[in-house]
Formats: sequence, structure tokens, C-alpha cells
Amino acid sequence: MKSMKSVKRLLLAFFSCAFLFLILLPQARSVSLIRISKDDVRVWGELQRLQIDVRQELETCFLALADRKERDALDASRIGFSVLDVDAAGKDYVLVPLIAPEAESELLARGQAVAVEPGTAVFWSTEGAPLEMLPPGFPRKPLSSASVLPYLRPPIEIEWAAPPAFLRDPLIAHIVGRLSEAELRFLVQSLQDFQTRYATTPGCDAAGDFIHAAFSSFGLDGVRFDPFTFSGGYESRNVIAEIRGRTYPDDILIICGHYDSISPAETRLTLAPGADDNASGAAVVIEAARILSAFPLDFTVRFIAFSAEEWGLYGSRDYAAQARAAGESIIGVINLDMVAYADVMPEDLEVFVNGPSEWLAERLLAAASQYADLAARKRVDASMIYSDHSPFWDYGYAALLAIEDSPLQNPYYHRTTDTIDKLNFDFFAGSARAALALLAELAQPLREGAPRTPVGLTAAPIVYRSLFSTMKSARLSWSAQSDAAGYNVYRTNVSHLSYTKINDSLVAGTSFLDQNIRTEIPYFYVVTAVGNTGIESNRSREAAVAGGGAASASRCQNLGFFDMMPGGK
Amino acid sequence: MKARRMAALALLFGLSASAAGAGREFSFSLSGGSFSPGSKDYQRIYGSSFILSAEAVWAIRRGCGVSVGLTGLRDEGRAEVLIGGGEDYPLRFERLSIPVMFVVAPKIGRLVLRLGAGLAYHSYREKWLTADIDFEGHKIGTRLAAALVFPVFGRLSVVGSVVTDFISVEKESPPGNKVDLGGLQILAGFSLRVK
Repeated sequence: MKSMKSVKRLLLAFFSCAFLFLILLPQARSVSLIRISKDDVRVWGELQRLQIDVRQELETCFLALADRKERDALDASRIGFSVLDVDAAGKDYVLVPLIAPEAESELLARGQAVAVEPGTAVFWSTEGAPLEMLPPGFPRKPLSSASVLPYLRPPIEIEWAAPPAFLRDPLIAHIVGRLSEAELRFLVQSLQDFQTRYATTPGCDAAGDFIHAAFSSFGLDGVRFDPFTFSGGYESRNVIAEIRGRTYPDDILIICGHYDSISPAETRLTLAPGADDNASGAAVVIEAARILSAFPLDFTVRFIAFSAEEWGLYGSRDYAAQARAAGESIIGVINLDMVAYADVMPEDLEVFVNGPSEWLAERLLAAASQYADLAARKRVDASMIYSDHSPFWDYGYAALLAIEDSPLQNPYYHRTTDTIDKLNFDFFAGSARAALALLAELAQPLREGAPRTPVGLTAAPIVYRSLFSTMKSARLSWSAQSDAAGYNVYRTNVSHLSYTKINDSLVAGTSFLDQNIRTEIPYFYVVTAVGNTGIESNRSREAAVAGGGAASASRCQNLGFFDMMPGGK
Repeated sequence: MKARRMAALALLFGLSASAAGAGREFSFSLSGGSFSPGSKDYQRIYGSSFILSAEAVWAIRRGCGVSVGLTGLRDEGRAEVLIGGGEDYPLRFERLSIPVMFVVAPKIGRLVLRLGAGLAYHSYREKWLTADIDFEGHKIGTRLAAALVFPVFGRLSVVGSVVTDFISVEKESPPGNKVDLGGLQILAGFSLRVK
């Protein structure tokens, strides 16, 4: 009798344990969508240390997928986070802007939405694909399908000693002077004439063919369609061409704009003229290609007309993923999306960048002022993710978005009335000139009579220490140019911005030691060659010496970038 | 902590002054020797170095007194490579110390064993000779000393001594690290009894 009781107790205990195990196991394994605050500076290091599956960086937070163990680890590290959706397994999420007060209730009527920061919400639905459940006309960006963790860059405090000074370059002015307002008008009209360029329509294909033909007629290199599938099996094509760099063919600058268009659901298959959105941006890309095709350049320039942007940035997401997978060295991306409508004049151009791309905005602002007589406004906002620059941010490339207004003021936006007659061609040409000037400056047209641009620049850090002090230096070396009488070395703390010459007299050899630089900040170097007549060449590509604590350096010489960060291992 | 040490140092100076004023026995010694740093970092960069020391001892009462001294150290070294290499950065380190100690000096036959404990004020400077880097600082640390004094003739004696300083110094770069400037001094020299 007693033994029967014991067996019963044992069985009861066994089944209780099994029940608890079955209840708790899925919870332990379940992946949740979480919002991780950026308030704590350690967050950058901790995300790397814990290898959190970050899917999106926004201005004030990260969105990530994390299981129970990872959430516990974040808790233990005292990194602030909140759970947005407990069970994220198999779900698709879309980021949307909360552009109007009624937007959130509109989203909630169609699925679930949570505001993740002012102006940004994440939307999902259990009824179907969230992209299809979204109200028409909503800008959108699907949450990345892969982790963006490897490409996250912690913020760098830029010490602006003085506003970057730029000189007007006659060669760049000459190039910009070739821009034709009539050509822009022709291109926008031609794209509008396809009636609709909605990404699944034959009109969009025909527009792609038109752009391909234009690129081919300029004699560009590698003109091609870049096909991709999207949204459950639709097909579309990016159109790509390039001018291969004479000095640095593997270092690439991109100018892009999407050529697909959209209008309300009932008309989009037949009429979506999209003159401002975004025949304007695509026209600048084509016009830049026409003009630059006449100039040999140091760096490769790639011209890309993306498709399916209106569906959720599909063309650019596909392209940026391929570029990163191929390890392409993309210096910067200039994305033009709606650059021709002016609600008031003078209109200023809004230039959106994330922190690591800030230099690109500074350069565009300067180019707009020097060559286009256009006011431009820099806006550092990692949450501006609703155009084709955003996938490049996800993969760690510098990129900017040039746009006429944010929030948008164009009353014809995503309507059948977005036609060429609503555009302001003074503002449009100004935007185009600014973008072209920046592109030309970065790509560096070869100059007559100047020595060849130096190549092979490397910068190696050297760190020595005594009892009380640590001294960091950078040893630069480069390849000799036969037509150079000597070299100048330039340095900056902000990539591609505000270079200062650091050699007192011309460097005769092909190496230079920049001694006693600060240990904690990065340094970027370029070299120019100076010919016998004193003419200076274009700048070499940048070589960098990373910033990092000497304390870290003394622990181990092979630490990676993030190991140098607060909270790093 | 710093204020207390300063007060102790002032007290020691006061006592030594009063001892001198009391007109008791006074001896002066001059010695030189080797300094072996306690810190491995110091050892690697500078190695052992030559040190010069002068000391005055006043006897307050029989077998007990106060000493005040002056110790100078200068060493040449080379900066240590952390990343890269191929350069040569000579360094110079200088330290001047003013120790004040209580001394007990029991006689063992003809020998006098002098044992001392006290504080020392250290002023130090490290300079990179070919780069524009210079670091100066000062610190009060504790000091222990033991010496054997052997009369040779008249008022003259030979002195052999062992001194250890504890000088732990904070440094700013890399942050949070400390430098141990202390170590062991082994000195030999002469002592002259004045009264």
C-alpha cells in the first residue's frame, strides 16, 4: 500500500516536472522583438559582446530579436530594453513613420503597431504580410532579414575646430556648368510619359529600358540590369552603369535614385506619373552620368536607378546586401529622392545622414553653396530610413538622402497629380548641381598638367610608452610616382573632411612619420604629388589609423575595433 | 590622507629642527649606490640606476634620533613599443627625494646599527628626449631604512645602507593605471660625526 503511494507520488512529481518543462521551454527559446535604448554609451560594446541580433538602428534605439537568455544577459549588463512583441518567431515587421496624429490609430486598425521613438513605429500583423496590410501611401521599411550588428559604428564625437573650409575648384565648376535644365526636363517628361512606373507594371520595365538605353548611349562601363524578386515572387530590375576609376577602380562612389513610382491603389497600375517622386532623382542620376562620362576620374562612379523602392526599398536592399557580400569598397552613396518640388522659394534642400555619414552631408552642404547657390540643411537622423540610402546604412556604408522637405510639403505626393508642371526647375537644377558637384569632387576628375594621383598609401599605427606617457604615431608610406617632385601629406580627424597639410616642406621620399598624435581618436590621411612645375595632383585614397585607448593597446595588440570601445571585452 | 602625510612630514621637520637646536650629536653622511626598481615596467624601461644620497642625523637622546636627507636619481631609458616599432625614443627619468625619518641606532660592539622609518617627499620628471612629451609630478611616500655604521678613525665612519621607498603614483594615460616608482637602494659611503 505504502509503495503504491510512493509510486503515485513519483509519477505525480514526474508529470509535474514534464508539464513545467513543456510550459517553460518554449518561453526560454522564444524570440522577442525588443527595443534597446541608446542612452547608455556602453550599449555599443555590450551588443557586440553579447552578439545581439540587431535588425535596425534608429536615432535613439536599436530594434533587435533576442531570446530569453539574451534578454537576461542584457538585464545583467544593465542595458535598458523593452519587449515590443513577445513572440517574434516567423513574423515580419515593417517600420513606418508616424507622420500624422491619426497614423497610429490607422495602423492599429490594420494590425499591431508600437511607437518605438517619436515619429517611428513598428507594425506587424497576424492576418497577413504586414507590407500588404499597410495603409496605401505609407512610407515603409521592412525590418532587415539579417543582423546589422557587424556594421554598427559607435558615435564619434567630432570636434569641429572651425567650419570646414572648401575652395571653389574651377574644374568642378566647369563640370557643374554642363548641367542642362532642358535635359532634366526632358528626362522627367520621358519618365512621366510611361504613365506608371509602379514596380510590377510593364511601364516600370519600359522605364528601366529607357534608363539602360540612356546609360549605354553615354558609353558608360558595365551598363546592366540587376534583376531581383520581391514581395512573394514579383520581379523587377535595378539599372546600373559606371565610370571605372583610372586610379582607384575598386573604390566606388554611388549616385542613385529610384525610378519606380506609386499612386493610390485604384490608379497605380495605370497612372502613377511620379514626376517629383522620383523621376526627379532618377533624372539627376542620368544627367550626372551624361556629364561625367566625358571626364576620366580617379575613383569609380556607379550610377544606379533602383526599382521597387515604393514597395519597401527592395531594389536597394538587394543591391546593398550584394555589395556588402562582395566586400565592395563604397566610399559614399548620394541618394536623391524628391528633389524638384518647392513649396516656397527659396527652397532649401534637406540632407539626411546618420552619424558615420555626417561628413557626406557637410560636403554636400559645401558643394551646394559653392557650385549651386543653394541652401542645404544637414539633418543627422538615423531614423530617416524610408528611402534607398537606408540599406547602405544597414551595411555600414556612408550614405545621404537629399530630399526637398521633411516632413513632405508636396500635396501631390503619391498622387496621379505628381506631374512635371508642379516642379520648380530652379530648385531642381540647384539640387542636381549640388549633387553633381559633390560627386565630381569625390570622384576627382583627372587634371591636365598635374602629376598622377599617388597610390598605395598605407598608414600603420605605432604606439610607444614610457612610465607615464603613451605616444602614438602614424607611419605613412606610398608608392613613388615618376612625375612627382615631392609629396604633401594631409590629415583630418573626420573622414573626407577638413584636411590639413602636416608637412612643413615637400616630402621627398615616399614615407612620413606623423608623430605624437592623440591615442583615442582616429586619423585619416591623404597624400598628393607635386610636379616640377608646382602643380599638385588629386588626393590619394584615404588611409586611416583607428582611435583606441592605449590601455587597450597595451593589453593586446590584435584587438578589434569594438574591443577598444567602452564596455568592450 | 595627503594632508595627514604633510602634517607628519612637518612634524618630523619640526622634531629634527628641535633636535638640532638641542645641540646633541650630529652626523652627516654621503653615499652612492644602486637603485633596483620594484616595478617590472620601470625595470624594463630604465633598468637599475645609480643613486646619490646625502643624509644628516641628529641624536635626540641616546640611540635615537631624526634624519633628514636628499636623494637624487637620474636614469636614461628607451620607450617601450606597444604597437608597430622601428623607431627609437630615448627617455630620461629624474627623481629628487627628501626623506625625514625617526632613527634608532643601537650599538653592537664597534658597529652601530641604524634603523629608520619615515616619510619622503619625491619630485619626479620623465622626459622623451626626441619628442615633445614631458611629465612631472610629486608624491609623499613611506620609507624604511637600515644602515651599518663602522667607525674607521676619528669621527669618520663607513656606512652601508639598505633603503626601500614605497611610491605608488597614479598616472593619467592609460587611465586608471598606477606606476610604482619605489624600490630598493643599496648604498655605501662615509659618515662624519660633527659633535
